[in-house]
Amino acid sequence: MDDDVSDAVRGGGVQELDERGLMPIGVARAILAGHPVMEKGEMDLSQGHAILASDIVWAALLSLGDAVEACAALARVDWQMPPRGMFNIDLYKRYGDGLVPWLATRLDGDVLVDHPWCVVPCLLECRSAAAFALVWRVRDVRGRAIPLATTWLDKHPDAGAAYLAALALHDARARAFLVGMRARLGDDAVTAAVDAIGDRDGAIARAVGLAGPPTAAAVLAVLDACAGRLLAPELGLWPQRDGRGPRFCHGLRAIAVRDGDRWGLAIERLEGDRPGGLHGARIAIHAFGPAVGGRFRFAKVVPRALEIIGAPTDRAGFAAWIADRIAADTAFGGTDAARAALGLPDGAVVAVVPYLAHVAGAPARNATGPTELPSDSPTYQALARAIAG
Amino acid sequence: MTHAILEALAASGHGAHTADVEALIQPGIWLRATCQANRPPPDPDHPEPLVDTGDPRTTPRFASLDLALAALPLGASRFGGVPDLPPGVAWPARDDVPMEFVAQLRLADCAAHDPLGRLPATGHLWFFYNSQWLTFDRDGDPACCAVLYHDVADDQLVRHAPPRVDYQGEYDDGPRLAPYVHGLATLELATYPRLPASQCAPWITPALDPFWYVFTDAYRGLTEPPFTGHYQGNWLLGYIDAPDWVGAHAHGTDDQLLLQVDSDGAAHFQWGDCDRLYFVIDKASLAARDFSQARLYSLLG
Repeated sequence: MDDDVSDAVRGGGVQELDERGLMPIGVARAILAGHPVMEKGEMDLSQGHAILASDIVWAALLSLGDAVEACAALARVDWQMPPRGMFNIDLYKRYGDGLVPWLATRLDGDVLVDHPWCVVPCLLECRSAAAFALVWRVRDVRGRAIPLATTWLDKHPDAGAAYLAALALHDARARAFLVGMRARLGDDAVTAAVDAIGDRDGAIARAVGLAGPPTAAAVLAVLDACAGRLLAPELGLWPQRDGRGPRFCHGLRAIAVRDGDRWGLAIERLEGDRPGGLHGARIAIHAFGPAVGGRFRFAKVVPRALEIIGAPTDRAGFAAWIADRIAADTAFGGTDAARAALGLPDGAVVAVVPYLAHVAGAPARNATGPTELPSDSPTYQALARAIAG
Repeated sequence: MTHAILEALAASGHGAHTADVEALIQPGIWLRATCQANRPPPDPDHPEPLVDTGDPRTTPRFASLDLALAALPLGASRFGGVPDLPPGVAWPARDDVPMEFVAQLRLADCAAHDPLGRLPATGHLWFFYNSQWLTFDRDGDPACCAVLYHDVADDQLVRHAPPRVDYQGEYDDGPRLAPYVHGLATLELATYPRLPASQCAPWITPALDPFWYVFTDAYRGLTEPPFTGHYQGNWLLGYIDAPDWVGAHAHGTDDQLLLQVDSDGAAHFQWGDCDRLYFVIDKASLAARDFSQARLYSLLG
């Protein structure tokens, strides 16, 4: 038996372990009969260490016959307190992926409730198709700030890529997550997964941007991955419509570029409420596409200076001055900087959208609000088609 | 001052170690920082009045920093604010997140205080610190900091606005602009003879160890500026002045403190919990002017 599991059982006051290295199964079943309660109870110091009532119940839960029996017992527990350690994976070590049916009972709609707090750590350890299916259903986690699916995929890249690749032809979300994996981990796992499927006509490889000229699906997969914060959850790579101070948005312009099989989409954001100085107004080029480069391959933000000669120095006057220039289509200037940021300095501009109907993407961590993805937007669908030709 | 240290050594009964101690003494340049502008709000979304009212309680701190920067000549040595970089030199980043700017040093100012010629006599050094991604010094991550050197005249430098990237670390409530921009402090330089710290410094041999702490503590006034109620532990060259419990001297006595920056109000620096930044470089790289080999530590144990 795993040492951590045996230690946890001893922590429940079991002085003599059975031949499995656990609490005798009859004792465990007796403790868990009916509706067991994980509660602090009276502290027992008789063995030289603190034994809580919850430690005893926990030891019993680890000592059942198999995962099926454990899932049934776990579902009956009144979780008034969690086991020791908020990264506790004792249940996984004891029952493996057989634990997934119980983990699935912690779903509230599409929100996984990390109570007790061993739920998420155990799910992150499981790598079976059932575990992936559960992870894939979860859209948010209550009780722990964690991007569950990306964390799980990073922990199980080979299995995760295989599960996603099987969905890729018909599931835009799966394609976006595959792009995210490529950005965070490189192409190896995704390429191997696509090859293993037997992608004879190359349809999956094209759909996820691994091969061939860009398809609209592949373009939207990259944009969805960027807007959905799948490349780097910490970074705001996708431009926001709103903001104050240096983030104040005067306008957005999109520039789609194609150079052979390579492509890019730049979203220029004219931002900032002060004409100069620290955090003065500028154009932020949010560059997306396979040729962008940088740490996250498919996205980066490149600042571009704003021509402010003759601009009023007060913020209200400056905002009006910018608005006039946007209305006159003179605020953003040429497209050279955008093409350079995309890694396509000699590319052909295939579309320019001077007043962009933008989508917000996924909310930042700890923020609330709907997720708006490019693949759901007629504007971005049209841009993707323009790029794909 | 070297003579005074050796006299003190003899007076404290350790004259037998004179040669060893004399070999350890090296000039360090103390950097006295004077505040020119406070740190702007960490999140620039913080509401500020639209106009400068003339009342210091409501004067926008962005505007204060802008004014202080405008008064600072191009190329001048400084802590915080923004750097003056040669045209075309990019603001260093780690994983696409721009690093914090820490210091700019005009080396012509330092040359008179560096009789051993350890630093180039002309040009500038720029120090940046990566505080994103929860980097730990002991990981030996080379992207924990960036030290740039360019031999470019002041009038060819360009004042750089900070890049702006929305970044939300694990413990941030919401996105904030990276990099942090610190307050602005001007620098005055003074030279002192420096000795290694008392514990866990590779120079302290078993022969020196038994008396080193008591000796260096008793004669601290010979190796650092007079204490006036507030000590700024900012040093260019010399030695790290704290015990090294983490193996920051990866090359032993072949390592050289390049710059030590204290948590201090002058530029509103706060490294960790009142810690310091220690930029360290091996002597061979320093001699070769290869500042890309500089390493950064902030917690020494």
